[in-house]
Amino acid sequence: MNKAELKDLKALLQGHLPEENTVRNHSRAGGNNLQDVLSGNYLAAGEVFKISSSYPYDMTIGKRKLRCYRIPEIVHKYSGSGKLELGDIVFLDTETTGLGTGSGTFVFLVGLGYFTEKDFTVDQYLLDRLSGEQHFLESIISEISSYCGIVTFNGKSFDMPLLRNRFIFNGLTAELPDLWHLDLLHLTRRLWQNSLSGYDLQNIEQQVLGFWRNPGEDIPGEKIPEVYRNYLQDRDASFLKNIVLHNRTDILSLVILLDLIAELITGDIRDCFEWKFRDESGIGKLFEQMRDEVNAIRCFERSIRIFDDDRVSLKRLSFLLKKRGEVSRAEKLWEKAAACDEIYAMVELAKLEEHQRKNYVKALEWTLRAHNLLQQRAMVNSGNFQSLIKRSNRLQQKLNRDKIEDD
Amino acid sequence: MDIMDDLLKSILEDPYWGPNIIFHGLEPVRNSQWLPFPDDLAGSLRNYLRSAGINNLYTHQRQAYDMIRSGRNIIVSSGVASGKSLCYQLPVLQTLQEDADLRAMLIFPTKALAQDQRGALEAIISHAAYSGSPAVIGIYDGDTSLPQRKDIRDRANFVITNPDMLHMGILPHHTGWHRFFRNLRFVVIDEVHVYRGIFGSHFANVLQRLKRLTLFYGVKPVFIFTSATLTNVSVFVHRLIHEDAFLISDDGSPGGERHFLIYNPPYINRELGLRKNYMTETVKLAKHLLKFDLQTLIFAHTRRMVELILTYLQAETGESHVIKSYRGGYLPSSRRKLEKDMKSGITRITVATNALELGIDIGGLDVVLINGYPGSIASLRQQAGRGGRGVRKSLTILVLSPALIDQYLIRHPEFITDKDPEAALINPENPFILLFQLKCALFEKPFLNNEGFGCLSPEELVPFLDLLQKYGVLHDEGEKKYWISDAYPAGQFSLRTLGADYFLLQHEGKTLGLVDASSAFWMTHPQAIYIHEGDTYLVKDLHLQEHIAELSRIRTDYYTQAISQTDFELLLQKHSEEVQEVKKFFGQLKVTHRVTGFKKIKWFSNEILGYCELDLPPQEMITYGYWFALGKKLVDALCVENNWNNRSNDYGPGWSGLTSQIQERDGRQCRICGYKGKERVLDVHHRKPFRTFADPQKANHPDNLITLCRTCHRRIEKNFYIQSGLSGLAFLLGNISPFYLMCDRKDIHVVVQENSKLAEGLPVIVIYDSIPGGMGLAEKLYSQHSLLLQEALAVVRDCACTTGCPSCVGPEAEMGQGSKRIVKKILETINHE
Ligand SMILES: [Zn+2]
Ligand SMILES: [Zn+2]
Ligand SMILES: [Zn+2]
Repeated sequence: MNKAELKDLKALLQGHLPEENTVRNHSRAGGNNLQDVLSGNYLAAGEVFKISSSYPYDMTIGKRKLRCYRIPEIVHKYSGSGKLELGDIVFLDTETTGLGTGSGTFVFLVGLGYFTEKDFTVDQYLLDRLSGEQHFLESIISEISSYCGIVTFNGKSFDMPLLRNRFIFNGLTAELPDLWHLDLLHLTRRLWQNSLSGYDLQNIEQQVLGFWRNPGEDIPGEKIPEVYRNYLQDRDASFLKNIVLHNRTDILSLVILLDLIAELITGDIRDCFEWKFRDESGIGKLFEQMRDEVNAIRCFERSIRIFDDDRVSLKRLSFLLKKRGEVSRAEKLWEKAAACDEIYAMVELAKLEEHQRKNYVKALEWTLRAHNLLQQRAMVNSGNFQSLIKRSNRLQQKLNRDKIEDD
Repeated sequence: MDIMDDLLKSILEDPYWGPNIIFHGLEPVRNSQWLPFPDDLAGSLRNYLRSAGINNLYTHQRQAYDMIRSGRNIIVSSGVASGKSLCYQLPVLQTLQEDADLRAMLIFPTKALAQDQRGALEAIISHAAYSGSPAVIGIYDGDTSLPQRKDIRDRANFVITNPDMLHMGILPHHTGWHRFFRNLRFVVIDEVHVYRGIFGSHFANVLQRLKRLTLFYGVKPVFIFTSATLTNVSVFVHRLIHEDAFLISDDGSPGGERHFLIYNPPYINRELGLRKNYMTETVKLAKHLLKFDLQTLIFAHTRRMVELILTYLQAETGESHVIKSYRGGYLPSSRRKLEKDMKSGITRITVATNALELGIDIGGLDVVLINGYPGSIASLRQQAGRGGRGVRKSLTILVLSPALIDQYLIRHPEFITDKDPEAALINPENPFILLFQLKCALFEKPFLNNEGFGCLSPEELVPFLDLLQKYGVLHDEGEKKYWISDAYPAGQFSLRTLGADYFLLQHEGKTLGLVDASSAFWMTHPQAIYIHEGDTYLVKDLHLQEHIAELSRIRTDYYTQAISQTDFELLLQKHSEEVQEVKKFFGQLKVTHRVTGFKKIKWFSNEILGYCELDLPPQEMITYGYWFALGKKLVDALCVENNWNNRSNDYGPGWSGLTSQIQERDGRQCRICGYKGKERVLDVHHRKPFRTFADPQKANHPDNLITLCRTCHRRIEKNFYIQSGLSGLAFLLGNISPFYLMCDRKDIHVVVQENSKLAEGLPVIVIYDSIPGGMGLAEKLYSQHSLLLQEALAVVRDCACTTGCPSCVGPEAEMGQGSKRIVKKILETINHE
């Protein structure tokens, strides 16, 4: 295809292209600079803009005060971290150019909230030009690196993977530090399962925390990519202000949501049951993480009673029972699971027959069933596979030996 | 004498079958050629091979091993069941022994092939007992669960996937695959010949995106292709990856004798070109096959035909327990049982549609019976390839339908056997495909200022990137251009369509597939019969706003054919040349196409059951066309030779009385030029030719009659004469061209224009790419113009019919009688014979 043929590509493709957004013109006259709109300053390279804001401890949001004392304890328990101080924890939220985690989605605003001796501070880094991404990420990494625990909302499947993608993309040698990560979305889902109309931060604010954002100072999440896109093209920062405020509010919400959760969980446990716990399996897992096996077993049992097909609880419960030496109870569960084609259960049953009962025929039967099933799966870890093959070989040998001895 | 020889004899020497076998091809026994294992092959792999009874490698396997190990890209182009998989398995597994972090990507066009291959690799790996951490194999496709996906990304040494998943699920998320990409050493692309047309053109761009990313992660993987035997496969592969690949075409594997018979059902009426129903003949042959202890697979086009054949066979033999059908839409369990019974030999005859896709393992069969040419050489070869196991003899019988495309094969049986067909045409630079692929590429990684794409230079890329900027998805910061939209471009189109715009095919709310908007009106207009994966559907409605074609299942005895009007505007004439009495052209055209109605045509007999009108808006597209014009001298010469005969047609009783009535009505005046004098005779002319009516009363209805002077009458008859000649020729060319393009009939459109703007008012035949932006088909035809016309002449000359038939210039009901004579005359004059 030569130049003449491509002369007017748009005409050529006319009528075959779907509707797309059109762009505003470049550099509108009279647009505001970042510094006109936001109180912050450019970092060294001039491509990253930093905004810092502080809030007194006794500020109230909704019905709650910002300062809370239970946060380190709850982060410690549910992220699996060691002992933490309040100052070791950072609250993170990002704003992005899209909702996917593909390589074409950029993070352009990162808010980091932390407690200081005298207040709660939010540092926000804004990517002013896409070409500055590397500096942007480096600034963030250097700040995050001074904390041990991180709190996000949906950060495990969105913010952190996306940031990690951006690091990889920029070929940064310094990796995102491996912080103890507490994702409040997971806890929230467990605590308020089926009782909220949505599990985004906004719904939680309104239905759990009891506050509404000021529409004049906020922006609906779905509009954010477009506003930033326009800023890149026309450099008018006027509309960025609401994105920055939005991000800051997200972080403040995180703090008081965590405080509420902490109150619910670290308080008297019986109280909590009377409260509106729904997800017994989830709570069971929480107890398991806290190494409270008795309560965990109770939750899992209740969950299985309610949901007959709760395979996860069944699996966890069976291993907890095995660990506590209640083998016959565990065996019943494995038999139930094996009937649902669970490979782990077959392997456990095979072990039980081989080591405890010395019934090699039955052990081999279970092993072969697992082997056949595994063969039908899309993905095969040849390690699993080989261990099954090894087991069945060993059992065959034992059986042959028995036969010879019988003769 | 073995049983196959008995069978062959029973057919070839039979007084009924024998004379109608019009071709007997034989691929002789192929002896194996061996080479020893390569020196550096690890002991564990040697042990595995020995345990599988392999003590040497076939020559092509060894050659592949050496080439791959030395870092060369290769193409293994060898026959069915020649051990192609081992060509890449061995070198890749050997390299894995030396580098436990190694990653390889294996791309298969079908799920069945992917499953198959995983099984094979797994068998080797678990047997060859890898030291260190065991190798992991993962199938990454639409069925893979989320937790497995992460595991595969991070840990699988072998990722088995398909082009769609690579496009949608892997490349746009490459950072999640960084461990994989940093260690990617091999990319295996199996059955590369299936990547043709739109799919192939997209795939070339997907591979380009892959290469762009491997460069980013600092690796340069070796590309390994396997292919059916094709001419020019190296050129084809170069179009795909813009790199050279070493071609290995010596086949060292042994093969049994392969027989190929073409059976042409005998004539019922030679003059009309009517032959015995081919499906009935297929059933008859199948019954004959049952007498032998051999396993047979029958292929038919549609599920309906599969059902018919099955019903006849079961009823006529009473052996329904050993005769089964295989088509789409089974539950997995019943499908597995069918496959098992075929493999074990319990099922003696299986009747299948093409749903029996590449890679579904049913074992080798003795006889493949193909009910009608499947539409492309590639499918024909694939179907025939189902025959043969190891060194046993095998037989394929193709039963021809009366369609021209089938009958044309008789002229070129070498298309089927000895001569390799050419690789299909792809056009990765089709602007539609390119634009959408560039969006994906941009999403994956910003474009640098001096960056090209595929064979496009940075300058050639500019108009595309400008357009993306205009649409607001690209942000230019000087040094780099970034994707800035919140959309996910890879999710916006399928590799099976042009990408620009398409209609969803929906059945009971479920989406069955897609059809390009440019062909939606043509193929899925309201009331159209649409065949999808062997099943017949009626288009209940075409929702223009929602872009949905609503289908319902139907059993019919007819198919439909759209009637359309086409106008051309010449945008850019690229080539033209006078070749004797005709002038040929190639250029860019703007095509305005309007589907105005459709015909219902009866299966088998091709009888026209009725016409219906449609009210659809016109569609415009820009594409490429090849056209040729009959020169003025040629047209005049043809008309002289037409020797306008005064042979008084028998227009029925009372004709002379009728003529004077009509002349009276028309004022004894020519209704065209107004001539009223005495020098010229006044004739009464049938507006619609008399011969096209079944009922003479209707033909002679006054509304169909008009008074003309002899001069005007001649001109009109001449136009009709030329027109029917052009239509017949167009039918002929449209049907034989796909053989030279390795494409489907629907990939090109053929249009006749009596006085065309494209050639100063001369009559032309235009053949154009039916896909906007073109696939390169018209350009290829332009270069094969003379060959095409010679072939066309041979077809007409050798056809036994007198005035034209479906096997040459088209069914007479459509063109009117006599079309064969004029087509022959045109072709003889052009070809100087
Ligand atoms: Zn936010
Ligand atoms: Zn006249
Ligand atoms: Zn004919």
